[in-house]
Amino acid sequence: MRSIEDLKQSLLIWGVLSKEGIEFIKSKKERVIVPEMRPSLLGLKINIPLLKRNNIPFIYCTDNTLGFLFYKNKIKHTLLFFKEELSEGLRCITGSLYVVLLSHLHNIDISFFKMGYLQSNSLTDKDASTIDGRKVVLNEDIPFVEEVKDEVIEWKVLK
Amino acid sequence: MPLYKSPLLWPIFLKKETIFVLDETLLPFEEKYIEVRKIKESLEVLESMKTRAFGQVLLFFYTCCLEESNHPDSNKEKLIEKVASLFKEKRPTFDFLFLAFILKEGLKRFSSIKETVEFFLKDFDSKRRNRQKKLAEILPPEANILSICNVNGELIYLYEELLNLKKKAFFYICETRPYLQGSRLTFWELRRNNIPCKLICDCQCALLMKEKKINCVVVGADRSTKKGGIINKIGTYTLATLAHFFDMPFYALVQYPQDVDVNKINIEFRPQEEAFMFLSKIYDVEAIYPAFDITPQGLITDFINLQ
Repeated sequence: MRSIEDLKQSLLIWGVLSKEGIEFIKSKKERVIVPEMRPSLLGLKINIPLLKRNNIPFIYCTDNTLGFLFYKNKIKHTLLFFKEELSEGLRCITGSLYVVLLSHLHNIDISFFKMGYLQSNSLTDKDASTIDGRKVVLNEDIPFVEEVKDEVIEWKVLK
Repeated sequence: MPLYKSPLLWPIFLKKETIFVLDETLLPFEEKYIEVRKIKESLEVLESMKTRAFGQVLLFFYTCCLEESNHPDSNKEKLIEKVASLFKEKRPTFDFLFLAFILKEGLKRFSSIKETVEFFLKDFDSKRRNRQKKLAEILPPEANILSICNVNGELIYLYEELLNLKKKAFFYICETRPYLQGSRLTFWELRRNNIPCKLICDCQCALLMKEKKINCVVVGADRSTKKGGIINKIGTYTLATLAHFFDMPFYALVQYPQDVDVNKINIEFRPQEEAFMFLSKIYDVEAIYPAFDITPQGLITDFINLQ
């Protein structure tokens, strides 16, 4: 793809796909934008194999590309996969607030689904110090890498 | 005399007939310089992202010097235009034509490209320091600054200027996928100077803003326009949008704004394989990698100019 104009409006997914989410996507017959989902590369490691298995067309991008895709009106609908429903909101993976706010600020609807199964001990990257198991900062600098944690998206933000 | 240093402040230098280019793709694990003697080699270095940002400016200027030296009888203006055109083919978003204009204007005062380049670059470092001085004055007394990509050592100057004003500073650096300029360059240059900072995944910034760990955003700009919009590393627009939502200032470091519509600037799409940079392999899936995005004027609190 050599230009943003070549990309059609698509669905955006964030979080680990579930069976229900896959059925929803199939019913829409749309292409899916799969962000990388740092640090653990969930988009690449988990969602893409699931989409391939279900013959759902997709395109991959890094997380920081999403804003530009919203700006260029390339996101039709956002699908957010959450870990747990709490009284104050939804507990989701890192980056969920990033995606929810970008969706809201560009007037894009969000649908919520319970996240698919995630075997977290199979994931190698825990924070920004590594990528795909490869170290990208010096050993002495690892303590200065921000810890990655789940995010609780409050109900008032989700409305 | 500066207290802090980074090789990224001046990543390329010219010595006799050779350009030495810091290979930024090897950092932080190796500091190696590539030797460039021909325009073909300059273009290879440029295309393969061995250098970027201020490095591109230096590479362009020094390549023009090399060409002048290799072709002493050629028309200097045409030679500059040829180099600009070849550079623009490789990196279409960056404004090499404006750099060519600067050199051609300089030739009205100086007899050679080399003298023009020397004159232009003579005060460049003090201009960058002054720019950070201006920014330091407007940042809060406890500045918790979010930044993306790499502004060639200027955050070190910013830190020094904040300290001079008895202000406190802490930096959060977005890793900046896919080339990881934030992790490999900015975080590294701040850490090696013991400047307080943390590295984050790009998608962590919204939570940090919500938790008020960040109170301002500072970014560079590959292109800037007189009407106020900027083009910068992909991910900049998101930071501006979120900063606006959380009511925090967003400052853009700009140089030589042009009278163009920001939406009409060609956004460079890099080969899709580069979306997988630094992963263990190139995955066989369709991917999209625009190298830059557009941040409109309305999201930018202030422009900190080099002039």
